[in-house]
Amino acid sequence: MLTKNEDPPRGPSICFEMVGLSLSNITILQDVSFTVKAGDMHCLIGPNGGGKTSLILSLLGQMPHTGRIEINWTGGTTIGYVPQVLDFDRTLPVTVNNFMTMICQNMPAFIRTRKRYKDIINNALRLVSMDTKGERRLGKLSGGEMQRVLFAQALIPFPDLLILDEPGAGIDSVGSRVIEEIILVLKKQKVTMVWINHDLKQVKQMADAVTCIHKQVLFSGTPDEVLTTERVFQAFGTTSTGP
Amino acid sequence: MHTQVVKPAGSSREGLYFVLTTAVVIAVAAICIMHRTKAEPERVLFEYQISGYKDLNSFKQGTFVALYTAAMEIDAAHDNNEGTWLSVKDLQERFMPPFAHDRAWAMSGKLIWTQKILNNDMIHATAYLGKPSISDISGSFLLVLLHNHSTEGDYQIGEPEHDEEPFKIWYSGETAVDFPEKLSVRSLAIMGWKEVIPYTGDDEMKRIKG
Repeated sequence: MLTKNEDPPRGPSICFEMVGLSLSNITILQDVSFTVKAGDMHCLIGPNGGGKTSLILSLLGQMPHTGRIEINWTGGTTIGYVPQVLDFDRTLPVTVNNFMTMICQNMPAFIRTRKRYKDIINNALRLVSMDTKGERRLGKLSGGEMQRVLFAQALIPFPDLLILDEPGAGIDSVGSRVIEEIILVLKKQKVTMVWINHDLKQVKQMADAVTCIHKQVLFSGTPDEVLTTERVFQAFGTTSTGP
Repeated sequence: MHTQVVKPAGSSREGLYFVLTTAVVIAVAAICIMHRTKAEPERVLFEYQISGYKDLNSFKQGTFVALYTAAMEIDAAHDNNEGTWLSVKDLQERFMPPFAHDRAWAMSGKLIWTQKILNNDMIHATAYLGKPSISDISGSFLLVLLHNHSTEGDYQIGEPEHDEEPFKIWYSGETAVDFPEKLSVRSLAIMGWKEVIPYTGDDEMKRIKG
């Protein structure tokens, strides 16, 4: 269950210093430096192929990056991660409950779900309005429903740092609203969130800070300061082919 | 508050584990091979035996090798033909060296082959005697085949320590030899025949590498 507002922030601050990444001699990121404040909801924006997902994977230690990425934990050290998509065989006979169980316990999910995890799983699925679809096969879920399940798994155990890779992409309006509500609750809890988001309106309304990445940092600051029309056009116009 | 520096993902550690695992597998395999390898016991020749490697010249070696191959064929044919032995004529019709009158036969002394069959109820035996037409090239060869059907599948000739093959090849430097009456090792040895022992892979290695 989510607890009441806390002060000071439970989430960590993150410092990117001259982060670079090259894969197969192609430069993906170069001299990326910015800071995510503790408890902030920090959005990453930028054109497609700009290196946002690669930066997040570097933060998760999944990429051979250069430079320094520092996480300054203040309390717990739990990271929740919502991937952009989950690639799996859609014919697998795995239900939503099985999937959630696999995340919680070491015992194989097909044997049974331990009693102490049942409530945790139900609560997480209820938060994303998926508790009634626990027995549905994972392959039968719509894109939006799958995204909500991925969001629910990121909440177990309750994260101190939540990393979101476009959870709103391809999601239905109900799902989008549900996720938005949970993010607001997490924001009140002062969980640090790094969120790749293409919805600039949502960024402006919800984010504490925003960084635009296109191989390098194009701009970084509070949405009110940096999200000017001119800058947005400049950032997204770099890859635009135009009519 | 504690600071965590995110380590970049790298293949170096995986590479190290891979190399270590490979090294362990190779080391285990090497130890297993070392423990299982046995040196082949050195073959000691008896008084009545000669080496196909050292004691025969190239023409005689050619006849011996051809006879060795033919013996296996005759043995297999005996199994397939309900216990009948191939005659010299059969072998010549099959172009089987050293019975066939080919160029190699002419160069190796033109051996003239005769056969004797000595079958009883349970023991089937035959011998092929080859006497040279040209005496200064080769001596005489004798191929003895024996099937003891009383012990099914267990072939025995002479002393049990030499029963690896169901046949034996003998050589005599004499050209005017009679067909032996008895084919036992003892009888043939007394009459001056020498059993030709085929050379091994090790012998061949010594011959090539010195």
